[in-house]
Amino acid sequence: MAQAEADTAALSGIRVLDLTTNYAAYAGRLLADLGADVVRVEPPEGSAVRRLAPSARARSGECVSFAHAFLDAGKRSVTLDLASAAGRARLAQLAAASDVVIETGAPSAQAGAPLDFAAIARRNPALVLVSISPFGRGGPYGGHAATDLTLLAAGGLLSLGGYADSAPLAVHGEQAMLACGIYGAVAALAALYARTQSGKGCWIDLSGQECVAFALEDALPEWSINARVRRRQGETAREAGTGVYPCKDGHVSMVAGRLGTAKAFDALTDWIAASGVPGGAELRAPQWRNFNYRQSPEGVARFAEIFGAFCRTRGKQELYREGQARQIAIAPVNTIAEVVEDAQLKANDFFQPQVEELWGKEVIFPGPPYRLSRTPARRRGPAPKLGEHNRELLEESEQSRNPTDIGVGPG
Amino acid sequence: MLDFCWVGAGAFVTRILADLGAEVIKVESHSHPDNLRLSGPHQPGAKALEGSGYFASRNSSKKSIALNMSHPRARAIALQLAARCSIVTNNFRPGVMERWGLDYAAVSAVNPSVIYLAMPMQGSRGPHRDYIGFGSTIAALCGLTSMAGLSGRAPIGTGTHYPDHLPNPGHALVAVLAAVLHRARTGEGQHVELAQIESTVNVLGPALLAWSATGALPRVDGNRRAGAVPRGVFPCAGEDVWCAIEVEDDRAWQGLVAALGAPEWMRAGELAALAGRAAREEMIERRLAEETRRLPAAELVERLQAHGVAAAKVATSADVAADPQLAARGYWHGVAHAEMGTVLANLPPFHAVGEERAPPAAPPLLGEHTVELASRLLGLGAAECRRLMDEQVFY
Repeated sequence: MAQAEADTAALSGIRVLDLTTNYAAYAGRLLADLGADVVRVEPPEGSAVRRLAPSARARSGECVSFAHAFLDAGKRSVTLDLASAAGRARLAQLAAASDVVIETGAPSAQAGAPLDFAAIARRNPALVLVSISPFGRGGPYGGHAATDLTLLAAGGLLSLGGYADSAPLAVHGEQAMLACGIYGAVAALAALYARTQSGKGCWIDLSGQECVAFALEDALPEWSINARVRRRQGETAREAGTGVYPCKDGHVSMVAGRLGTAKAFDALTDWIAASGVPGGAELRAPQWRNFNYRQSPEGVARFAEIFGAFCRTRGKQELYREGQARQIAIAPVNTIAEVVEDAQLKANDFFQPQVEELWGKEVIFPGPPYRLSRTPARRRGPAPKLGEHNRELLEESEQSRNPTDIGVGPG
Repeated sequence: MLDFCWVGAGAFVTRILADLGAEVIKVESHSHPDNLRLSGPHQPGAKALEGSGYFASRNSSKKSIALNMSHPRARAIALQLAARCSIVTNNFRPGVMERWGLDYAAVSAVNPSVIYLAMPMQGSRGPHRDYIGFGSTIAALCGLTSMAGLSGRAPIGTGTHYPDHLPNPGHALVAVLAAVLHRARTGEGQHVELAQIESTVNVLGPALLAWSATGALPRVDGNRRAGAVPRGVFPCAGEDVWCAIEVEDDRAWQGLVAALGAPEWMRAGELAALAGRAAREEMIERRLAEETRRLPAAELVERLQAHGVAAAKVATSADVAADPQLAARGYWHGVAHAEMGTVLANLPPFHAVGEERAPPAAPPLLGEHTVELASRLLGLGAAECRRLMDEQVFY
């Protein structure tokens, strides 16, 4: 049975050492779901990931980190004291028998990376080392301290979030660090593929700032072409029909009129006008066909008034259903509690309740982000207890493992 | 790769694959151009469909074949191309590729080892499979929008189509590259589906677990977060200039105090430990703002970093384009473009140490590579290409 499962995993036989200490631990989680043997290397007191928010106290008094439960699911855990020469030698030995090492040791990457790539590569030329750091190696900010918030700032995304009359406001959930994790997995996989052609590993230098700078939408071309700096505008719609609008039980988000949705704007105005809401018939006037008017402060405000009256008596699920029936890109602004009730996600069995041992009861995991027909990704197990696999790995290392046996060379 | 990814998330997937060395053949036509070609900002003076900076930012290093899929003869040609490609991608609604005879069953029949990526917003099955949306509505549906803003005001999310920019293209790249690796090891291709809502919910995984365990929704309270005080965005000298600062622990607080010249109020003993600062969060934010507003952002960041405090200027698009770190690392490139002059293009956020980062190639003009590709991949001569152009198959 175990063999049959291993055969359907894209990354069966690939070993990954995971030395990450923040949300970039997501890289190893993604690889573990695809079937890699991901070994989390932790100091004796436990990786910092075990203390990341969100967390709560279990009845036993123990702190349960839901970030750790999510990010480290399906990994193995080995504790090593890297302050000791023996611990470092053991790490070098493990790295010599691994395919990938992922680390977030920077910002001091130049000086204090936990691994000397050149030395490891001499022992294991097929090794892929992925070094994830806030600003990448070198450069004027190479040594800068950073957190998710400051990375969102340095990469530019923070400048687009917030209300026009507030300070810039950040998105929830360590998105910059998660992006590092996603691209860390991308980089590892690309390097493993290159290795099937060359037989050689490499050292990947990944910058969080560069990840975040992918999320700036049209702000860069607005600057380079029009010398216009795009600023945060909060709840103010960019155009009549496109934005977040209040309704009876919360808010809805809508895009009607922009990006090739001209027909949807007509459907929307027909819908509103037919409802008999005050001002609704006004939306059939010719000026509403005009982009410039829809983007004017006057048009944006007047539309918000009329649509606000329309939505005041309608709930977000009703607006979602009825709007989509008219081919309008509208959606409820859901809380996490409402996401779990989403009819589509439920119908596709996306959510996966799982007993979380430390917490002592079921928690809900999201299903994998993608569905591969031959080599499905799936959560391979719970997050490991600290040092849970110390003995197992020691025994395995006594049977020597050569990474070049697996995944190198065509076919 | 044969690429039917238009507009948002999909275009980034295939762009990164192009950056990594794949030959990406973008299929579109004058009867159905990628909508992004119609979206601003537009370079003044550029020909219609060829001046969009938004399009340019997501399509560097790709090739373009102008194949009019609404022409009945185009479908056989597309299938021939698909037979010669190792990856076929689309982010259409379910049903479009089927209508064109280019669904996985049809493509894998002529190309058994093909990797076929579909990125429908809601997935290919289920009651909402035909629902439509954009990054901003996906973010709303999946919970991301509700978790950002100020308490008592409208939820605002990132202010962008965020899922299109990082989580969805990133996850799709993971899936495709895993499939590529699997094929390199076994010869087997496969179908990959990324339902954009399923992908996006994953970047809220920890919040979902926490809610299901405790019933608690994340606190929506600006930039504040339990465990780090202060954590926020503070004004600097100048108009609308800001600096993000996060004091992760008590040592960083001492660093902050020293960096600002140890003003009287910061030296108070009750602020030395997190609990004391958490109880006075509002006062700290107010008084810290009075300190930071006196300093230019660059000087503030330099001072704080010198004392080990995480801080960065809230970079505007203009700052990002001129960022010294990104410049030192060769992230941005000015690429010559026939209609736009020079376009700004970035590279993937990672590279191999010691390897030169090759600059990206220009985003393609619509149909720029039609003849080249028809000749090389389909064996069509110049006369045949001309005829297909006249018949508006290549259009």
